[in-house]
Parts: sequence; structure tokens; C-alpha cells
Amino acid sequence: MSEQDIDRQLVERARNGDKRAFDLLVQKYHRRLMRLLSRMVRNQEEVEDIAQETFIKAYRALPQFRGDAAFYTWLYRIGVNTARNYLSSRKRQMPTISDQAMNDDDDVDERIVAQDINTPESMLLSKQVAMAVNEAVEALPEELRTAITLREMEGLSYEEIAEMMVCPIGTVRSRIFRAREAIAAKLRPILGTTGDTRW
Amino acid sequence: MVSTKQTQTMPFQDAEAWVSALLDGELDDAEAKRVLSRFPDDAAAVARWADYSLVSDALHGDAAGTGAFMARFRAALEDEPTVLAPMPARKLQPAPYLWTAAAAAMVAITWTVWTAAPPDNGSERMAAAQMVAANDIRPVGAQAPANPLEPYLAAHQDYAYAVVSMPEMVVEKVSLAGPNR
Repeated sequence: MSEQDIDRQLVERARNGDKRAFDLLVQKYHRRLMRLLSRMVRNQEEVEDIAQETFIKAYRALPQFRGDAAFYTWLYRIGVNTARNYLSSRKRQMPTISDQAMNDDDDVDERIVAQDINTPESMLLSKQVAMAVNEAVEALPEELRTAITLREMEGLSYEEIAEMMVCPIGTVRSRIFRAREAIAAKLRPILGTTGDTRW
Repeated sequence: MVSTKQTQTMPFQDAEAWVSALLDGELDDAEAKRVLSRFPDDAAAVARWADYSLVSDALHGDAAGTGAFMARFRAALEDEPTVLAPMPARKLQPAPYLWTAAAAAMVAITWTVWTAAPPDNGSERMAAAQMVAANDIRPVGAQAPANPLEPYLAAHQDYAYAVVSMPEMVVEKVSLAGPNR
């Protein structure tokens, strides 16, 4: 089952009245959405406000989600429209980022994002997180580091990773899981999460 | 050579490992449904979903707004009326190869029927049926002929041929009428 199918299953549950299923989608996509919005709105608090409004709009519009497009693509459109409306209402000028750049969030020059959108606190937190992640990845055994890097940075499928690492797919699955656990363990103290119940 | 296709079944109590694969879209339908069925009641699975999403984002340099944002969003979502709009079942679209297979089957059936069926002459059959019907008219009480086709065959004896030898296919005219007919 692809990521898109899984998202669709969660949307279906949310449409059946399960708000917690929608929460899982928010957990998954809110940082990605905020990164997108950060290219349009410079202030971090405003970015969070617009992100929240985007998710609430998306929740209200769930009955209109047909599932033809990926959930994130649909969410992305709502986010961009919400940000544009916000900027229009504030009579602010958007940063000079082309529509093409906004359509491909991986191609945007990260320097634009880093200029002045973050508060000192959020910048410190981001720095701490980045350091912790780097340290955690460095400390991983080689086979775990290779597996998580191929998956997260190169975007390879488990099957492709298995072929490259000459091991069964189940081993790849296990290595990626263990790598994530190790990195998450380093991040929890910084972010104040416990890894236990969130509900 | 180690088979990369080999499926290693993890014990399902390792729910966290399954959540990790679920996030990557790397479970088959049955496995994914099994893991999804644990959401959102299984708190550990939900926590791992959040953790691994964060790890993925952090590896890409995005870790801002994690805790505070979610707390604020949940409060806002609580105030929203619950959406109740089940998705309509998707219409099953037959795969293109099914259309090809169906067309091929239709051609095969048509060809088989066409080649297996005897040559058909509709007008002859109609005339024969009318002839039989006409010849079958007899007074009440009259005995029906032993073979109901006899009158028809007698009327068409001029068209009746018999193959008398092979392979030369010499045909000879024969008469179906007996001496007493």
C-alpha cells in the first residue's frame, strides 16, 4: 500500500468522524506545509497561524476531497491559497519567489527561507535538532546509517535498498526502523516528548 | 546470493517497526490494514507515527513548530464540528489488459462459431419448412407417416446426392422414392 493509499485511508476515517485520523495526517505533514508557507510568509508565528488555518480548512473541506490527487497535493493548494489570501488581506508583498519555485518545494533556495523567518528561540531549537540528528546519524552502525540515508535522503524503495545492500527486504525494514528509533531517542529530550502516549 | 524478495515476517508485537514501514508506504495491503487498524487507539503506535515523521523531517532540516503547533492545532480541531461524510466507494476500473483479453475472446468465439456452423441457406430452410408443413396436412384420422421427413425428402430427391467413392468425390444421383411410392 503506497503512502498515498495510506493517506487516503486516514482521510476516509476522518470523513467517518474520526478526528484522530486527521490528526495523524497533520502530524505527518505540518512541518512540510510550514516549510512551504515559510517561502511566502516571513514571520514564523504567521506561518504557524496560516498552517493551522490551512489544516482547519482542509478538515472542513474533507467532503470535497475526491482522492484523485494525493492528500498533500490537495493540502498544498489549500495552503498556498490561504497564504495568498492572508497576504492580500494584510496588503503585504509576497517574497519574490517564482510560482515555479513554489511548485517545487525542493528547488527553492534555502537561503531565502533562512533569512529572517525564525525567532531566536526557534532558530536555537532548529540548531539543536539539527545537531542532535547529525550526532545520532554519525553514531549509527554503518548498516543502519546506510539504510536510513538511502531511504530518507535518496528516496529509494526498500526493494532498491535491499538490492544495493544485498540483504532481504525484511532486513532493510528492520534497519530503517532501528535507525529511526535511535535518532528519535536523541530528539525526544530536546523536544520534550517521551515517545509514549500522545493522546 | 541472498534473495532480496524474501519476505521476513516481523512479529506483530513489534508494532513500531510496522509503523516505520507504514510511513514509507512499504507494507502490502493486508499488513497496512492491520497496522492502520491499530490507529488511533494504540498510543504507542501513534507516538511512533509522530516520532518517525519528525525524524524524517529533521533529516531534511525541518523540525520547527513541532510540539506547540500540534497542541494549538488539536485545541482548534476540538472546536470544529465533526465531519461525517463517508467517501463513496470507488468504481472499479477494469485494467486495459482486460479489454484486450475480452476482445480476443470475442474474436475467438466468433471465429469458432463461424467455422463450426454448417453453411446456412436461410431461404432453403424456410422453403423446406413450408414444404413439410404443407405435406403434413392430412385428414383427421389419417395415419401419420412413419418418418415425418419422408414427404420432404421425396419432394427434394432431385437435389439429393450421395458420395459413392473417395477421394475422387464422384457423386451419383440417387432416388429416395421406393418402388411403391
